[in-house]
Amino acid sequence: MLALLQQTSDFQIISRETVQLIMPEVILTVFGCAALVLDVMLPRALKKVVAWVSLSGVGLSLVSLGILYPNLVNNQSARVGFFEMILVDDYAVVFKLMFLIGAAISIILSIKYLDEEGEQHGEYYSLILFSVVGMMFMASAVDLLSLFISLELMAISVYILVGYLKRDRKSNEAAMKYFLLGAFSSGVLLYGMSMVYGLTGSTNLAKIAAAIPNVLKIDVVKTMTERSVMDMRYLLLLSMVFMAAGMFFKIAAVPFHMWAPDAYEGAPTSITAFMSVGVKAASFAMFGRLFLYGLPDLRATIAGNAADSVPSLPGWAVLLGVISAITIVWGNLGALTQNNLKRLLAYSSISHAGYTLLGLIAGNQTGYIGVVLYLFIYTIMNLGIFGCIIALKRRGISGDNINDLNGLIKKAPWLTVMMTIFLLSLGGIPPTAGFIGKFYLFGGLIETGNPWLARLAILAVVMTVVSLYYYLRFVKHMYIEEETETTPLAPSRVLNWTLSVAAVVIVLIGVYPKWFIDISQRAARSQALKTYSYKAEEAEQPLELPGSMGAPSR
Amino acid sequence: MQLHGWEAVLFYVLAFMTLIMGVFVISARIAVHSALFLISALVNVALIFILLRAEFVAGVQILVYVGGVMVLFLFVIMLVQTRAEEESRVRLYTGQTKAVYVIAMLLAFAFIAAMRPAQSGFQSPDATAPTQTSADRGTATGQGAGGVSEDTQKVGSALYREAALPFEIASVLLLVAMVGAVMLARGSKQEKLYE
Repeated sequence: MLALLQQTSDFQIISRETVQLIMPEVILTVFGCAALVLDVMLPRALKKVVAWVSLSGVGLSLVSLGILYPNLVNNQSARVGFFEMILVDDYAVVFKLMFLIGAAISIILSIKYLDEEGEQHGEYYSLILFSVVGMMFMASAVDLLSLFISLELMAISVYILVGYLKRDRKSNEAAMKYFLLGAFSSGVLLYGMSMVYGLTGSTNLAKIAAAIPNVLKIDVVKTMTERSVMDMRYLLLLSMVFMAAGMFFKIAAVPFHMWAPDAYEGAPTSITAFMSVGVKAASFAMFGRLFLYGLPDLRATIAGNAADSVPSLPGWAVLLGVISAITIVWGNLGALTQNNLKRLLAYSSISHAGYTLLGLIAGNQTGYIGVVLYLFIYTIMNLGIFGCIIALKRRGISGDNINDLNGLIKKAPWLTVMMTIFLLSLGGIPPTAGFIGKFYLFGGLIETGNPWLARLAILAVVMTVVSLYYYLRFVKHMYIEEETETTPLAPSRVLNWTLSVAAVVIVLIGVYPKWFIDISQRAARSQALKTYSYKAEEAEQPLELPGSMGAPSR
Repeated sequence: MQLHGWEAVLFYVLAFMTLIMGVFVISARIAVHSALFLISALVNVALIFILLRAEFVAGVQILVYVGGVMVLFLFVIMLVQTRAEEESRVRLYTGQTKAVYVIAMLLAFAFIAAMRPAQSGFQSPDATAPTQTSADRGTATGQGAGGVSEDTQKVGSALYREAALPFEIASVLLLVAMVGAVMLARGSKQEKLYE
């Protein structure tokens, strides 16, 4: 016992450097607790103060991230903290920036939305802050333990927020579905993680990555009479598939997307906005950490042993490729027939998850830049479009039916213009930011020079064209259809200003994307992420086509 | 770690019992029966933990799940009206049953296929240490069969050192769960009251 005490006393768990690493999260947690207390203290009329306090918490957290970052650049060694539980590299910092911006916009959207619903409570904002804490830890965690627990922190906060409108049956149903499927998917993910731990003997992603070559070795023992093969690749692949399935649930990729339309439709619109960008981006951050940092050796073909007739196995690039192709096609086709705007955007967000997966598959710098850049742009444009829907909400009108948009150009010209910008960006039309993001994602695939990946890119481009149909349906209703509803809008100045800034940023990125590409590049260059060249693989193992066998005939 | 002899037999018996109890949990018609089957499944899991020389986890399993969570479950079942569901001839299983069978069989097949060539592929948590059989583990640390396990000490030191950060995140998680439970369970009358 004494020995243990001595052991721990010379071991400084909390030093100034390590606390600095989690300062943005600590600030948010403190503000989350403050929001809870303030809510009880304030009278009903002043509840909005809680929202502004939460917003200032997000702002302070941004400031501390800004102070932290130059220190990180100067001092490389202080990036790992808490017994290698977290790694605060460029990748983590850029994602944290993304979550904080998303949270700030979501809080502003929520103020107006909750006013209309008459449900202005402080817990709402504190839950948003807590879930952002979870997201930020997800981006920097490099240990299965911290990754999973921060994922749960984020997810549980969002389950509660989805069911926030207690007196709305749809909200109840959405929360129930999201919770049950989410808990199930967490179980699947955890099962995969436990098997990886069993195979590699560590929960730390760096150590897992180091141990995997050993696991992939095939031992063939030959005796006179029999031959026994010791091959753990199947088990490792199975656990990889389990982990991937868990993550596919979280990003709503296609075989695991069923919860998304219902949860998105039933949730309060401001939470739909928040979860469609925040939860998705955080899950992608975790996906990248798990697969690019923890399991990079499982990406491509896992070599077998030809001499002993042990077959080669496909890696996760194939799995992700198939899933992303199905996701893009199904998401876009599903959106075509929807009349409820929230449902439509749910399907559109499914297809966007498919597009973003393409960058992970490409595995080169361009693809990784694409993932970060696209998530960044998607955060702004999707919050923008949901903000416009919330701006339409007024007494007795939910604003989420496509007919509510009829003749909007006469009622609110500037809102219509902003909405058009966001829609064009979602569709990926050139002068907007969405085009730049898609350009990098598809470009990354083509750059690999692999014919299958080029076909995948072509499919994605074709489906982008299909997606224009349902985005332009909005435009048709806004500009061409006759006005069916004469109730005036209930404008909110703060919301309008925020949306205007978002719209301007979207156009700005489209015209001059350099700054955003630079920061995405920083994240993509983060040493923790292993890039991969498909060409190298082909050089090592030349494809043996039946036609190329033997010497060419004269 | 590989189990030998009677330990292996015990493990297979316990694992099989856990599975059977798990099936009973979801197939029992009366909610209280389900809860009781769940208790026995959890006790079985606790016994497996003891077999793995993880006495602390086994104790926690009994205290938290069997003691705390299950009592809560039983209270909820008693408070909520489940009689209607028990007596009515509502089919518990829908057309999904066949799909479930197929998927479960496929999954089982995948597991067996993956496990077979791997043999004893799972590593002991401390991969650097020489593999010990569970029997000489106790003697190596100078403890007989009745000795006090170091397990609890190990969990404690891990919790406050290596796992300090996840431990803190978990505390925020519990706070969130508490806030959520209060928020969702509070009726409109109570909401007015506290305002």
